[in-house]
Amino acid sequence: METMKEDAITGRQLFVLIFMTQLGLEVMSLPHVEADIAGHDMWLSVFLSGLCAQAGIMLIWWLGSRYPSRNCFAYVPQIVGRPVGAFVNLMYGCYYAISGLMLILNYTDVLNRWLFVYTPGWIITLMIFIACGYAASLSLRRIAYIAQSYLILSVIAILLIAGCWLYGPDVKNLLPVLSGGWNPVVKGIYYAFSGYVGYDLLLYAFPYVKAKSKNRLLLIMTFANMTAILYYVLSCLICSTMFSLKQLKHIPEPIVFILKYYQLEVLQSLDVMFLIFYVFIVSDTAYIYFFLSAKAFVHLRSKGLGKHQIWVWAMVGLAFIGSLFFKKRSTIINFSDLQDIGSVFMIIAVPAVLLIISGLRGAGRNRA
Amino acid sequence: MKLSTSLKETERYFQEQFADQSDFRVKPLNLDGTEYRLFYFDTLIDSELVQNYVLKPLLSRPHDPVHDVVSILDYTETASFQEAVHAIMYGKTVLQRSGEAKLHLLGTDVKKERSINIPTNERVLRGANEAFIENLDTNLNLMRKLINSTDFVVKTYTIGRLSQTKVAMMYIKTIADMASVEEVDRRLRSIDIDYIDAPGEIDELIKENKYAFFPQTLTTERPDRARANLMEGKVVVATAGSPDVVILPVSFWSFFQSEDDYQNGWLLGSIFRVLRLCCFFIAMGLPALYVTVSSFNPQMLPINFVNTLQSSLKYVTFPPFVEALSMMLLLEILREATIRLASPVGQTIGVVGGIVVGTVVVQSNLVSNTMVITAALTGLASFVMPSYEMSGAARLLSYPALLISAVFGLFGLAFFFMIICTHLCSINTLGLSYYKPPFSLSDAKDTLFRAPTWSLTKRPKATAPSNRTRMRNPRGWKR
Repeated sequence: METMKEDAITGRQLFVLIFMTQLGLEVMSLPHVEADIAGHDMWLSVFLSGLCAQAGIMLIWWLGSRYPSRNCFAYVPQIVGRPVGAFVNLMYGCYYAISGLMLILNYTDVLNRWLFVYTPGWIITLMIFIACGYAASLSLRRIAYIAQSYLILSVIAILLIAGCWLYGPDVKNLLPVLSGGWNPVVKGIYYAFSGYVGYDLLLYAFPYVKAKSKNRLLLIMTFANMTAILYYVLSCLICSTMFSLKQLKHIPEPIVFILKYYQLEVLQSLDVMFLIFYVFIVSDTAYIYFFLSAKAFVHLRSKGLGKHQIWVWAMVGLAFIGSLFFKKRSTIINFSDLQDIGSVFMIIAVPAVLLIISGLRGAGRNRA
Repeated sequence: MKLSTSLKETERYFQEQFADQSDFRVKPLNLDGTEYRLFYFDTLIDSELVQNYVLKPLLSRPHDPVHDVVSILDYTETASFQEAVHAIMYGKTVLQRSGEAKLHLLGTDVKKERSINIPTNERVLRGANEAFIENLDTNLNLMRKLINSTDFVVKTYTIGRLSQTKVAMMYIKTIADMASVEEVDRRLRSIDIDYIDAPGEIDELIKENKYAFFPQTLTTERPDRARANLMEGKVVVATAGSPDVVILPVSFWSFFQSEDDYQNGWLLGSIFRVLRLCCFFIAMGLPALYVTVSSFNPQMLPINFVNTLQSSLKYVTFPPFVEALSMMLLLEILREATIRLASPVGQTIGVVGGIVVGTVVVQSNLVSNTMVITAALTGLASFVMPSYEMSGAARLLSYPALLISAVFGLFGLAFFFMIICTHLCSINTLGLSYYKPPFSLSDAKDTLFRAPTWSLTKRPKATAPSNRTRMRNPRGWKR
């Protein structure tokens, strides 16, 4: 009961949490990745990918509304039985810890390339891990407070990005639409999907939201997803109108490049500001991953296994040790690709299978 | 021991209790054949009161019942020695007539108090000019005069095994969250200490997060501020012997509210509120920002400004970190010296602070011009906050911020603010969240800015008041 009270969040908080979790490094990297695949139609890919995420949200919402009083990690054993359920929870725990690790590694990589050329990567990683561990050991409500506090930064970020648009965008770059047919666009959907990962927080948060009805909860989720779509599409549009495809293929983080070019009277380099305060947005996503990871491990046993805080620090510690093994940039990229496949599996395939099994069992029970 | 009718035995008991007290007095009286004994401390009683309202009436009507004769309002009877001993210690006179197995407790304590002064630590431009004083009764009187309602409840406790200090808890029973009130009550009762030194010890003994950096109780010397907080459903704890009262449960935002905000019109009030919040960040982070910008990321600034900065740093031998640290320490020393300084030598601090620190340090190239400006701005910004505790917390936190940004640069500063934000979010006061980001308009109304009075129809949610309606139609004249 105590966690029920401490984890209870309002609809507004859910909106902020989902939006902030979805927002990640992809704002910077998507235009570069998509340039190779969808070309100038990247905004379309990103938009369609958002709609796929919406389908994923519906899936999790449907699953959650079948068990409205418990979180996912608590009802999984009920659906698939105790041993398999424990295994699923274990998978989720590892997946979230790895997601957090990869996010932090990728951000450190960006920082190392653009800003801190001489700083050893592990120091930056360690600092983010400490901040994440501290935040993740709090309750969901407190984490929502943190996300709400950082929300202003994401607004500033989009204003900065949009502000750069004032200087000569070339809308012709977008035309012709669908020059390569639908094929590259559809292929691009998969690569853009990693940007929307994070809505799966609903798996855990569903029972704790104080929304008027479950339909309203879905509405809140949709709003959050729409905001994230808007954010990504805007950043893709800006990048593809400011740069040619050839340029985009060579610049890994085009937005930083745009910001580097413009300056204010009192601030020479907007890019430094942007990169630095992006740590708030990145860490916000990362600590939610570690929070979820620890929650999954706690639910390995129905009575609860160990304390949440201990699991958080254990996972953060393990992830930090793991981060020391990633020395080369190519290893990080390859592993990130693997993790992208993993995330599609974990937040679309697994909930879908769970929903089907739970539906079959429910139907069987009704007949009996 | 049981009280007997014999005056001798009572006297022996009191003499034993107050064996070494040279100011304890026993006065035997024989009035027209009736024996009386008076027991008192002559340092605690008002002898004129005893003379005029106890002795004189007794002389004229020695055989009538005592409570009919003495003209003292604070009059009680008891048969318990324990109670009588306590009463004597509080300055009452104990009277016994021979043949009666009861003691008459007469409230004749001398009231020595200073007059009500103007607030010295929390100044405002508009607003009441009364401050609490050390006498608890006077303080309660001030509060009762401000809130003439039966809903205003005062509960008193005695805390301190030796000092037996009176502590009063005040709340408004139709507004305050009863769970918080009960919790404060429970915590006050459980305090077991030899003497209580308010408000600091009350604060430390009843707050939840022992290791939190930020103050979790609001201390004030202003009755009007206490009233404003009572009206939001908070609990006020006043202690005898202290001119400050403690307010709880308070949220982070309460520390930025000042009485002035509500007197100057909402637009000015809001601007000053936002200014104070900005000053909080300046006080915490400005020296750190200076160090990172001048030693790690000068490329952030426009080239002309960098040139100016470099020219002022040119002849300074120390690195910016040492510069910043020494100036901040100097500022702290000046502040501490100003508080402790005897008032006749107060002028000296201006000379030392202004001339030596401001001019000579720069002229001798020990510290750069820019650093002096930074330090001065930091110091001023920290004193803008209406709460001394919060300004202290901000200044204290500027040291770790400085250290971490001297080592890790701008990223370190970001890390610092991340930890501070998380820390703020984790604090609890009386089961309520200490820091809630003002996310909806109704939350931001009296936190981030000061909304117009007519729009503050609901009490803020932060203290979970049981009755949130504050006004229904405040501008009812307008149809």
